[in-house]
Amino acid sequence: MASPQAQPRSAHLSTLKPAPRLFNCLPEDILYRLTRYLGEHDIISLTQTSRHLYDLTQEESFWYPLSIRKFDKIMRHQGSCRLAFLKSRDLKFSCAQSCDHQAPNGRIIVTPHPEIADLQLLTVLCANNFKIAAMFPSVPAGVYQIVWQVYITDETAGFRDINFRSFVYKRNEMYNRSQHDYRPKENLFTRFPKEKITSIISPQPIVVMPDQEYSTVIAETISIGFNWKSNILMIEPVSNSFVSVALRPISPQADNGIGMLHSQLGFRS
Amino acid sequence: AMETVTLKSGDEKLFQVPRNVASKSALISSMLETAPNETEPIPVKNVQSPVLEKIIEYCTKHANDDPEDDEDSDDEMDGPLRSTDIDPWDLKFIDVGMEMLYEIIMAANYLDIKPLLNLGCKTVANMIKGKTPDEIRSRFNIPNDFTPEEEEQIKKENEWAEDR
Repeated sequence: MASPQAQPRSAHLSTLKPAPRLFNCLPEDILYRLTRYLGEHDIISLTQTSRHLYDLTQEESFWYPLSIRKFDKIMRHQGSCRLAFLKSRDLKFSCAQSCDHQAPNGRIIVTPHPEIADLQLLTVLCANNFKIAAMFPSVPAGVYQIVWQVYITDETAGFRDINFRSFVYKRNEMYNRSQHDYRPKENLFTRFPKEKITSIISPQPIVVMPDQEYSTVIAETISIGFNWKSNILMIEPVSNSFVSVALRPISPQADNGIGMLHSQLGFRS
Repeated sequence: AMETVTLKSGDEKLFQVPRNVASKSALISSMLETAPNETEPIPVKNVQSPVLEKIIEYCTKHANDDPEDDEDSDDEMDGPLRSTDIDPWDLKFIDVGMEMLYEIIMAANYLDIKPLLNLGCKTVANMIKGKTPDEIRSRFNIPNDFTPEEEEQIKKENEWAEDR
């Protein structure tokens, strides 16, 4: 055991200075170590608190490990890793980190987006059965809407049906999943304007329970139909590392019933 | 008899501790390896006695932990590390004032005691989680030294974060 040859402990503690300012002189390496335990929102909130913290996080090197954690590689936007990190959140919700797609009876090609620089379109050509699945790793506990962004090129588009499905995989337990299925009774796509990017919100929210925190969420389409007359375009950044399907946190304050679900489940606000 | 070493804090107080306890610090461990027969007190200049006492308390408790547990984990590559898996003894140990928490983190960093450094960082992370910048400032007594124009610009830059 320790044998302090000095004053009793209480006397030591009483000499400590009041009004501590923990972050005023926190070195960068400790700040980075701290961010390993924080999600993206919390990291950004922290960097907004003082000039010292803001300046520390202006260093590109600060964002490298965060970029690798988020994108699985160092991603840059206009040459900046930090901007890429922030830019990826421009849609105000989480973008999927990876995408898997197949169209057994059609073709999937990647083309430049006509309106948005740095984005590419994942185009499904005349497939009568295609599937697009996107993965969101490390999703914090909460209730989320799943938002697909779709661009239909042909005025005569005649999709019969498209459905959405999502799963929550518990961290490190890929076999343990909860599933949300939604199969609309009518053709959703004909309702949307053509030649315009349209957000489709899956009617059922996905719920990541507190004990599932940082689980992986999979969102995928289920297309059952035939007689495809047009193309469906999914927006995809040039990196091919994430697609336009997104998880949007549902505000617990929202007065829409979903907010009620949020608070009933006891998620923190 | 148990082999001991003497540590001398920045304010020149002496602490006699078992060698295996002192060796929880990678810094002290390497000093002991370099000079195994050194009998002079080991100076720990950057750490004051109240903090060194806390550090020794932690190292004594964890003296027999598996050294592999002390290694840094890389599994944050698929998301943030968990900050809630804190041992109850550690939780009580780290329930200190903000100034002491800061001193423990800095001392653990200087002495290279990774599990203690991680414990400090987890504790701070738990205080930050889910808070707005204003709430974080208030919790940690961080002065807002941005000009109103800078604050507006930074808010704009990170606008998405406001829309939680």
